[in-house]
Amino acid sequence: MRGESTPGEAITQEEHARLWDVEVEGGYPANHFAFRHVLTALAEEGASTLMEVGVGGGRALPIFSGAGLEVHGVDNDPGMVERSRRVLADLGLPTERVTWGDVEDSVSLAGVRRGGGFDAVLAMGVLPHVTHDLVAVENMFTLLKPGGSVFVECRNKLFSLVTFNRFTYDFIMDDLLHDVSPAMRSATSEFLGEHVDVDMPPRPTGHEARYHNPLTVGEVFEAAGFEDVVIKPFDYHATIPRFEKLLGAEFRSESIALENEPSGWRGLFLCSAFLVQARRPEDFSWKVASGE
Amino acid sequence: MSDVRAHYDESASSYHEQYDPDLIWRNAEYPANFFRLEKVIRILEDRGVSSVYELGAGEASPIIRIRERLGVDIRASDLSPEMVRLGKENLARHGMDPEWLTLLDVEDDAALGAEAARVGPSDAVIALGVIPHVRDDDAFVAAMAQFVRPGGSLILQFRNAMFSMFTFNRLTKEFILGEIMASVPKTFRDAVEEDLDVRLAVDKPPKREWDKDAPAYDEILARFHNPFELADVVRRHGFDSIEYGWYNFHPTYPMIAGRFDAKEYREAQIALESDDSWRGMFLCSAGMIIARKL
Repeated sequence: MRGESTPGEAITQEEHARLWDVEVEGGYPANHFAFRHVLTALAEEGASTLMEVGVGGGRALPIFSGAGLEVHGVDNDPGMVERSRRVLADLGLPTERVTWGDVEDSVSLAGVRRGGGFDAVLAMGVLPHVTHDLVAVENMFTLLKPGGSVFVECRNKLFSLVTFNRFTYDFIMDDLLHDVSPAMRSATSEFLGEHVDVDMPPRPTGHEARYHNPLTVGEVFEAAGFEDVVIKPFDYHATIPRFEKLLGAEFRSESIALENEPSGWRGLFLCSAFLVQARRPEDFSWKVASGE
Repeated sequence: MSDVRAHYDESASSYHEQYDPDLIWRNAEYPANFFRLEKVIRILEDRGVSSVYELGAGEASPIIRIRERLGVDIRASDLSPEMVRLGKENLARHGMDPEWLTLLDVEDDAALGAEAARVGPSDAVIALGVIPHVRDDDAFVAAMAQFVRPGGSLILQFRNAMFSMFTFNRLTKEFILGEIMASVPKTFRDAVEEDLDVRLAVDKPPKREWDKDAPAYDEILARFHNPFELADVVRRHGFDSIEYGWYNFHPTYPMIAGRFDAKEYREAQIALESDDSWRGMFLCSAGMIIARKL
């Protein structure tokens, strides 16, 4: 990768060893495995600039900077912008590379776009919280140079088919059988109530993150103008999630082992998240409505 | 294949009933294959094909309907002598050439090659209800490829293993433990098995017994296929632009279907058959891979 790098590494040996440590705060280090996909792809593409949408507290900035990328960020929370700027300052990088902006409001991204676009856009934990997927994805598109790649994390709806809990109930009732007769829905609901843990995990009192279907989410990216859409599952679960605490370190190590699982389809059910990787065409031109 | 041949020899005389539009509401068994054939005809029509070869054509009812509806050239073959005998009669009855249907074992490479050379490549090759009964998927898809021209279409039906993710029964347990969690430690799978034994109806489904004097469908080789893995097989043999088509929808769990009036349940099933979305992958017990030959 070209660009500029900080003196640090993307990850140190000690940090790498802590991936297996269940005592480390933050739980399963899922993003590490997402970043493996991203960094490999960016290295292949020879990318030099990266914009992280939803940069948050800037935890990924040292990783991508350490990999040699010129890193930038936006976030819609001013507090997070400040935290990320402190991370940049600690890295010896210009703090103005992180700014306030809302991925659903293209006007707020105008200043970021002024530089001419980035080789890659990364959005971890963003799409689960936006209101309008297409608007957000279209705005990410505009942040890219022609030929650039986007990497967007989604929470995986299909994972619900192996969790046997509230998410299973919701997926079957809302996604699979939403339009069958009331009698069928009622019987299905009753059946599920007897066979899955419909009260687990407890429904949050406030905003709940949205989940996406890996079999259909690509349509949103194609509608936004992207091509070569690829789904890359990550955050594997070596068994049903409720056994995670019981199995502890063994669960962690077996789940990490699965992050290299090569089938191409098991991850659609064993992973709680996936990345959508897609490319902005080199010769894309916006279709302007003629009004006819 | 002798059991498979015996099964289809025995069921040949009633085979046409599953495609009879007048029996949609009266057939004891859900007429899934009627809706499958309707989808196949639509796909072939959309692709503008002018010639079709069918492997495993039964007594020719489907291929005859394809010709009647689309006016395309047809050729076909089947494993079962009784199916072929009745199929030739069926073709003649419809004013078509009985020689268009041939006896062929798809696992006999020499016979297969000779048949492909005899008929030449078609615009489309279809195999509905065949791959569940063959032992070597790669060999079978390679065989299909011999019957279709470059740029032509393949339609390959399969019993859908992914349906087990919906059924909450023995098949669910087998798929989760044997396929999805195949590579996790046994201790993990044992814990999951204990959990699933409580949640799932692991004693279902019972075996079907359609036939009295020949092996029942569940007693012959009748494999399920994982649509993702089968798509990989199809790609390996020179096809791309892969799509899925789904049929035999289930509007609720099969094990509670009996709670509903039979007509109401069938209406709900039929209402879903026009759905072309992704959800058929989980609501349908069967599907088709549609692909283009490079």
